[in-house]
Amino acid sequence: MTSVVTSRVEKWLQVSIILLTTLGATLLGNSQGNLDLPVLLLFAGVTSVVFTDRLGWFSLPRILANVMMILIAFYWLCIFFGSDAGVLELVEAVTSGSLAEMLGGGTDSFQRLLAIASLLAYVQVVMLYQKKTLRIYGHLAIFSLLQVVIASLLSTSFQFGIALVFYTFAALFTLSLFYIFRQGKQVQRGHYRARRKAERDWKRQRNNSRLDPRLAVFEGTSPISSPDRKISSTTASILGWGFTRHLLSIGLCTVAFSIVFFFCMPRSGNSSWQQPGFGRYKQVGFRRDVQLSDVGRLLLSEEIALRVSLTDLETGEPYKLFGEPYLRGAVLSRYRYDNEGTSRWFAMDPSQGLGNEKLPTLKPLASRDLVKQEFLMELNDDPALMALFPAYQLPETDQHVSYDPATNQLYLARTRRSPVVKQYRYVLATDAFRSGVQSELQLLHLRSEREEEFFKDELAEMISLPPNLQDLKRFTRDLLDQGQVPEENLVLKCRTMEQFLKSDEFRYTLDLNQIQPMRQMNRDQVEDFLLNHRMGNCEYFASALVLMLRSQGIPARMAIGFRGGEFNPTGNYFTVHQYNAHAWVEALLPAEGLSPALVEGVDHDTLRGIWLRLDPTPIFRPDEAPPERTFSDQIVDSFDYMQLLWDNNVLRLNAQQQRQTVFNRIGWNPDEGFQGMASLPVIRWFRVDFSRGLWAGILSWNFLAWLILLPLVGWLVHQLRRRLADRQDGSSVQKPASRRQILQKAQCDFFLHFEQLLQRHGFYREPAQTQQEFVRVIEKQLVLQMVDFSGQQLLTRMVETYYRVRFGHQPLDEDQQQLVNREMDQLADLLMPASENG
Amino acid sequence: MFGRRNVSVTAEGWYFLLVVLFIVVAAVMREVNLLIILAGMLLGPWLFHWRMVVSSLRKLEVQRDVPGVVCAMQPFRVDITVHNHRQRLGSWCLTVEDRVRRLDHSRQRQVPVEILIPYVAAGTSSSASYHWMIDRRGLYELPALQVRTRFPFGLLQARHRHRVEHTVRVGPPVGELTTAWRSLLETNRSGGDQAQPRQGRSDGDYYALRPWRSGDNRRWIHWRTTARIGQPAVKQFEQQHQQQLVVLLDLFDHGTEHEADPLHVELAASMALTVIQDALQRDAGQLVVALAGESVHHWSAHPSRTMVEEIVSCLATLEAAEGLSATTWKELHDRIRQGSRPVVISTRSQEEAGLSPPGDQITWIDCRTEEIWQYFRLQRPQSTRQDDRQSHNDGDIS
Repeated sequence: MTSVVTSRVEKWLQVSIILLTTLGATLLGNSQGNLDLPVLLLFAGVTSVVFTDRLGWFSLPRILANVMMILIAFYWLCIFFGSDAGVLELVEAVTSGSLAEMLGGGTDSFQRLLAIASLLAYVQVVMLYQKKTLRIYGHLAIFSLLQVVIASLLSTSFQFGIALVFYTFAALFTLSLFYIFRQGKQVQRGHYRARRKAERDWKRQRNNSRLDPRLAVFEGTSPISSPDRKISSTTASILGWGFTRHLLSIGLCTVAFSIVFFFCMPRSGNSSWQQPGFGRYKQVGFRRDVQLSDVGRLLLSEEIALRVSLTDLETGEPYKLFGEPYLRGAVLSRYRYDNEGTSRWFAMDPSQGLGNEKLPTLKPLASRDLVKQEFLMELNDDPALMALFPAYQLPETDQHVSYDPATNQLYLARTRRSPVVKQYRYVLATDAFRSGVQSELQLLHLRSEREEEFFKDELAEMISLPPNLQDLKRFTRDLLDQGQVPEENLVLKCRTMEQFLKSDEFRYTLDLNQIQPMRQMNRDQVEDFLLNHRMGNCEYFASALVLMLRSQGIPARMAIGFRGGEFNPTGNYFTVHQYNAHAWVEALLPAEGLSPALVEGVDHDTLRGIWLRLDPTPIFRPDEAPPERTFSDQIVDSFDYMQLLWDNNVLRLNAQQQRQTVFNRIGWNPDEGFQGMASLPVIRWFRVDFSRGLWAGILSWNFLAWLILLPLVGWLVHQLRRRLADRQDGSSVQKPASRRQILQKAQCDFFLHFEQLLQRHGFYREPAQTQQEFVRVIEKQLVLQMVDFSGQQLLTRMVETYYRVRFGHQPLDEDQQQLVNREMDQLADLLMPASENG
Repeated sequence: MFGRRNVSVTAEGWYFLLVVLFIVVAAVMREVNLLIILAGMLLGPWLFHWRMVVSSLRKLEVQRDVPGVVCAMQPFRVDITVHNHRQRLGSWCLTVEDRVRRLDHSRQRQVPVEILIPYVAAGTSSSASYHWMIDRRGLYELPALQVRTRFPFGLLQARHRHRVEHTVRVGPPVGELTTAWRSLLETNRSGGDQAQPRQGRSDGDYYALRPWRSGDNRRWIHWRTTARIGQPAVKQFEQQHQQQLVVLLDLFDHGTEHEADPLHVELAASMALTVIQDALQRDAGQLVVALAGESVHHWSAHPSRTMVEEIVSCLATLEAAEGLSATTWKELHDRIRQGSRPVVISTRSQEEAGLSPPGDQITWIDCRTEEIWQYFRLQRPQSTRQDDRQSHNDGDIS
């Protein structure tokens, strides 16, 4: 086993290929949350470089590698086409002819993409252990690029963008090294081919039996060429800081170009689907129906549900909010208790033609602040959208945001043709705030007959109480009587009930297993909670309050959504997690008796009542001071903000947003096409009128004048710069080149080091002394100083090498340079005793 | 001085474009934003690469340094120097394509060779060299040089032709003379002037330098040159010997279609040049040379490099024709001293030539006979295989 001789360029190429394949796999792994593939490729890359490329211990023969790749392709293609069987099962299926049935399972696009990505990665592993040729290097790079393409379809995190920048640099270096390596081979092959052709000619002539073999040499062959220096040394000399700096600058320019390209490339339509089209959904946290449970433990999910930012519509500044926002997703008016002892809450039946109505537009009220609410929501199968109610339509509100008056629900109107997406961004307005506080009151307007009908149905549900809840009704009556609450004061009634549930008599818990031992199975779950065990989560508290209110003739419903969230001061937005899911109560009070300030400017014809938000869950502790934010919290916030920026400005950049953020700023309306360019400030400055069409603009006098004037000015500037540059060249006094520069230019650095080595031991060359004389003098001195000095040959060789390089113009190649370095080290060792003695 | 540059897409470039096209189409059709970024990151290098290859060849000047006269089967060095006249931006990885073509054989294809110049910084120049070895004498042309670059990514190629043209006169190959030839020379000298040992610099005038040979006086060593070329060089003096070597080359065209005839002409020319080179190296006294083919050329002087160069230059294009005629012989006779025995290297026999020199005897070597192989041999250099092995060991060829 001998080590393989590899040129410097190829060594760097091997390293950069490993980096590229690992980075490509990392991008892919990052997008699917699995780091197995990058680790595998890194391991394969490092071991292949050491054992296959450098030491040459083993390499996969081409046939074996091809067979392995076919098997890998077969396995992953089976998975691509829907099989989840193992390798042995697949082999068995092939032998038994049942493969077609096995592949009939079908799979989703996500799985298919992963199958392709895995196929590429495993094929790369096999290739890495082959003897590297140009073909192998090329395929490794292309496969890596394809992996990145797949990763870009799957990824949503902003780390992908950062990793992509690194990948770009690695790819540029790899591409350049590959080119240099290939170019060196090509040049070398040219010489090789010329020699081979001459060799063939010569053989042919020698075998020509009609001629005297001694004469054949005069027949001549084609000319032969040979390089003066090893090609590997030539290509290696390209690598250096200048080369690196050059590629780095190209990389930076590439990144800048990509950013400009990304933001300026016109999008085709008003689509909100500009994000990866594939993802897996997790059904945790918010759900649109409520089923009270008395077993199990509810786990707090850290999954992000949405991000919401609030902006003052008048000032455009972030809106400062006091307290936690209530984001409503659905309202549940129907209550059912089945024979199995389970209480359930349902929404009203949706209207026919889901999502065929829009939200009303915002009508400013003097008593309220106008706030824009901007959501970035992680979607699941449920099309429900969150909002701070009352919510209103804005001009920039996406057309897919729809409102169902039957369920009072905001929906994302999806069709079958709509791509499946993981995140959705939408903008709404609200007037729910007053001086930074979300109001507990919300006016009920019914603007159409259809809405009136839906409301009647809902009202019927909201006042109904199951007959088996008489104990609950009695208990509530007693509660109010004890509190001496006046019958006509509905608000006080509501507050009394709310405060009762918030009292210490009730305990908030997520461990519902604690309920089970105390559960009275003959009671309604809500009644049992209220009268018996008094433990539960927010759904229990909200359910109890709704039924208590209904028992007293106050229409009420359960509202579910999210409360609170982590405020990110860096980006001025709330990050709402799944554990922020919450249920609260909305009680309907009559509109009469409201304070005039509250209803100033309100359309009284459509006003039917007012919703009072009640939250009976004793989870909120306003007395507790918020924990102090640590440095790590700030870092987390920054990362989260980066993710939000990435989501808003990259993943979900659509035509509308592009128009606002890019084209509007430069004053171009893309809808107007080329004529729209005429409105650009720069075009207006030139006073060229393109509004009558392209050709009319080109043929105008102004355009023709600029056409002549601009090149003329350019030429004059160019001439001026040239003159100035010439003058500078002429006036600048060139410093004489130093000895170091002269030697470096002549590639004699080694002799400079040689002299420095001798100087360290007290030997200085006289100005008029030739190098050879200098060495002879040293030799004599060293022999006198050290009886056993044996470095005469080294000194002589060093001078000979110097003369050959300096005057014979034969620069050292890589091997010779290494030899000189070794000899220099030997000389340093030999001189050590001399300096110690001296 | 700086003409138009052509830019073309390489095979790898088309491959790359195909992938980019696929990604761009997917990005545009699906409006997947990350794919659009990726497309930008692929298109960016393409654009910068295009600017780079175009700029790299701007204001470049290329020079070729090549010897005017060389011998066949001896490698000769060609130096390529590239000057970068730009004030900024160096040129990386320039490939200079050179070619050689025999001028009088239009059917022969040009043989290309590529030289790699790693880097030419702005405002500086850089050189690279290579060797040609041409097997057959003649007049060869090194036409315009083509400079190419694909740096940095190899996807696009810019090329520019520089009208730097040279011609090289390639003389016949120099072979080896056998001991039989030495004996023949000694025999010719017997009874005549004896060779005199060289005694010192006062024995002649200094005119050139030559490599050191065993027996040379150490005082003749030219130290500066020795240091420069890395091997001992000694001064050479013209000595006034009494010896005279007369070499006559008679290239007669038989006018037949025989396949070997042209080779006999080459053989004769090669041997004549070998004898002349040998005379130069051995300081063989006065040298009288006559080359007779389609034209007649003659020299009579002490051998020197200049004289040999002239002879090689003449031999490079001398074709067989009438050869040595009686008139030429008569003209030459006056230059030949008494006692010298001319050596005629011919493509015909003395009888066919019908030349009978008055008085002196001549040594007639007919190239068509076996006799010539007693005095002369020529072997093709074997360096090619070694080069191949070296290339394989270096990992340059796979």
